[in-house]
Amino acid sequence: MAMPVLAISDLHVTVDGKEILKGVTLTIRGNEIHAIMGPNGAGKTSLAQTLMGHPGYTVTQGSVTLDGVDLLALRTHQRAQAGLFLAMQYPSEISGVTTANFLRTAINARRGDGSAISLKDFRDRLDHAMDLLSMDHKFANRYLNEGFSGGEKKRNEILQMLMLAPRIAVLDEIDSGLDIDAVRIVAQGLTSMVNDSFGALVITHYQRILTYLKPGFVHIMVDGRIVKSGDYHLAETLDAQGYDFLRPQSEHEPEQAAAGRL
Amino acid sequence: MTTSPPSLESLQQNDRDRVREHFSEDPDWLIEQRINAFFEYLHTPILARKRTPLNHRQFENLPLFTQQPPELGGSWLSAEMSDGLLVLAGSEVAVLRPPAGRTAERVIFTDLRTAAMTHFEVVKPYLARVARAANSKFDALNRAWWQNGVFLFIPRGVQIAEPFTVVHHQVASPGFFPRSLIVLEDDSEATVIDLYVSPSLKSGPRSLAAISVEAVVGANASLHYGSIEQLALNTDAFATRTADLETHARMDWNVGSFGSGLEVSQQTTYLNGTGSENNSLTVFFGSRSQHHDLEVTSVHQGAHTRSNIIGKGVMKGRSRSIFTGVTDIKQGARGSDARQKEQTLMLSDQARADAIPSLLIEENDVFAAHAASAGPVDANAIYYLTSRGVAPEEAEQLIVEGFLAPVIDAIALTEVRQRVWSAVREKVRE
Repeated sequence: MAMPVLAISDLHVTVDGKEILKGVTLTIRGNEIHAIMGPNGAGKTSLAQTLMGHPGYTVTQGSVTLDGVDLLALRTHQRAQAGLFLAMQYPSEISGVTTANFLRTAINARRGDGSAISLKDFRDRLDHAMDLLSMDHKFANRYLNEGFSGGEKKRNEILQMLMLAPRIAVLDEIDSGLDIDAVRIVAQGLTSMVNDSFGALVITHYQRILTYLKPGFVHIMVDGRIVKSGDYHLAETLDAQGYDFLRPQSEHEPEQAAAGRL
Repeated sequence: MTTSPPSLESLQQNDRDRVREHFSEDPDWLIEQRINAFFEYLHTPILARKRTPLNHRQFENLPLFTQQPPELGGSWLSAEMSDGLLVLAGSEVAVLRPPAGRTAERVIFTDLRTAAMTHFEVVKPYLARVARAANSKFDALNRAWWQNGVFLFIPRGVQIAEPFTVVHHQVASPGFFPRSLIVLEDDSEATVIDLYVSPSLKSGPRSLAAISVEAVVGANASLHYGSIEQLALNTDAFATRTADLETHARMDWNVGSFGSGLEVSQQTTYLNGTGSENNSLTVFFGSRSQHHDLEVTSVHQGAHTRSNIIGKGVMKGRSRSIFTGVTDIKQGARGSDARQKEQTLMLSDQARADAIPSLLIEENDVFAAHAASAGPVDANAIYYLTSRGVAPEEAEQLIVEGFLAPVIDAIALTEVRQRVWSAVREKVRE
C-alpha cells in the first residue's frame, strides 16, 4: 500500500466566530512521528478536532487532504474510514456498549458489507493488542470508558488505534494523567505501529513521552500558528527553557511563523 | 354464543342474560362473578390519570366481540416449541405443552377456562381476589369478559427453573381480554412470561385490550415474571397487574411496553409479609404518536420489606410517556427500604416524557429514595463513535441499545431478554 500523506495547508478555523487556527501548514507521511507542543490555548486540540470533523469547528480557509482525498468534504465517520484516527483527550463514556462489541462494529464499518471480521480473528487481534498494552482482558467486556480511570481511558484509546489500524493517527494529550510506566507502555504501543503505511501526530504538553517516541519532527504552536519546527532537540530545548524563549521570535516574525517553515 | 356482536352500550339492557348467553358453558359461580364484575365496571369511575384524558375515547361504543373466526399470525406458532408453552388465539387454545420433569403432575398449567371447570377448587378461591384490591375499572371489565388466559399453580415446595411461556394472540375482535392467574404456594419458585401480540402492528380496526395479571406469592416463594406487550397501534390497552406477597416472598417484574397506540397500566405489588421483596423493571419504547401512561406501585405493609422500582424508556417521534412510581409505606412497615429510579432517553424533540415519583410514608423507621432523569442523546458520544468509522445512524442505535443494556441484560430470563432485545431493535429501526 502506498505511503499515507496527510497534508494540511494554510488551515484557518473559527469556533463561535472567533479565529482559533490562523494558518496551519503541516505534512505528515508514513513512517513519521510529528509532535506538536505549545501552551494552553494555542490551538492544538482545535487542530486535532478540526481534522476529525468535530461539528463545533468551522474551517474558513485552507485545505486538508489524506492521500489526495479532500478530508474537509467528508463526514467524521468517512474520515475515519479513509484512515484517519483521533485519540481524544477526553474520550466519551458510552454506557451499555462494550469495548469489544464496539470495536467489532467499527472494524466492520470500515471493511464494508460482506467482509466482516471473523470472531476468531477479532479475538486473536484483540488479545494480542491488549497484551501489548499490558491491559487486563476483562476490559474488553466493560462498557466503553464507563468508570475508567484517566489512565485506563488513554490506554483504551491506544487499544482502539491498534485494532482499527489507521493510516494517520492524531493523539491528543495521550500522555496526560498517565504515570511513568503507562507513558512508556503507550509509547511502545504507538511505536509498534510506525511503518511505511502509518504516521502519527502527537500533541503533548510534556517532553516525557517524546523521550520514548523520539519524533523526527517537533513543532511548536502558539496562538493558532506553528511558530517553530525542528527535530527532537527542539523538545529538549523547550523542556529546559520553557515557552519564554519563543516569545520575542513569535512576536517579531509572525509572517514567517505562520508559514510553518522555520 | 350470541348472534349479533354485543357492545357495552347494548349490554346495559338485560346484562345478566347477555353474560349468561355469551358464557353459557361457564360454571354458575363464574357467571355470577362475571355479572358482578360487569356491574362493578359500569359503576367504577374511569381511571383518573392527569396527563392521559380518557373521557373522550368512547369505549362504550366499541363492539366487544365479532363472529369472525380467530386468525393467527404464523410467527409465534413457529417459535421454538418449548415445554411449558401455552399459545392462545383469542379464546382458543392453539398450543398447550405441559412442563417437563418429575414434578409436573402436581403442577397445574393450563388455559384459564379449562382450569375454571376442571380445577375450580383451586381457581375459585384465588380468581379476582388479588386484582379486586386494585379497584380498576378495566380489570372489572376483564373479570366480566375475559375470554381466556392462563392458570399456573405451583404447589408447596416445588421449584421449577424452566419458564412457562404464554402467548396471548389478539385475534380479529375489537375486544381483547386476556387474564393470567398465577399462584405459588409456600417455598415454591417459578418463572412465567406473558407475551401479548397482534397479527399486524399497523392495520386493522380500532380495538380495546384490557389485560389482567394477578399473582399470589406464598411465604419464601419466588416468582420471576416477564410481560412483553407488542399489540397493534390501533389498540387502546389497559393493563392491570397485581401481586400479593407473603412472608419473605420475592417478586421480580420484567415488563416491556412496546406496542399499542395508547397504553395505560397499573401495576401494584402488596408487600404484606415481613421481609418480602419486590423488584420491578419496566422498559418502555415509544415511537410515532404512542402514548404510554405507566404506574408502578409498591405497597409496604410488612416490616423489613424491600422494593426497587426501575423505569427505563426511549422516546421517538411524537411519542409521549408518563411513568409514575408510587412508594406507599404503611404504618408498621418499619425497617423497609424503597427505591425508585427512572431514566428516559429522548430521540426526538417532539417526544415528551414525564417521570412522577410519589412517596407516601406513614412509618418513621424507613429508607426511601428516588431519582429521575431525561435527556437527549449526547452529541459528544455520537461524535466519539463516528470518529471510529461508525455512521451516525448506527452510532445512535448503539447508544440507545447501550442505554437499555444494563437493565435488559440483567433480566435473568433468557427468553424474555432475547424478546425484549428484538422488540427494542425493531423499534430502533422503525
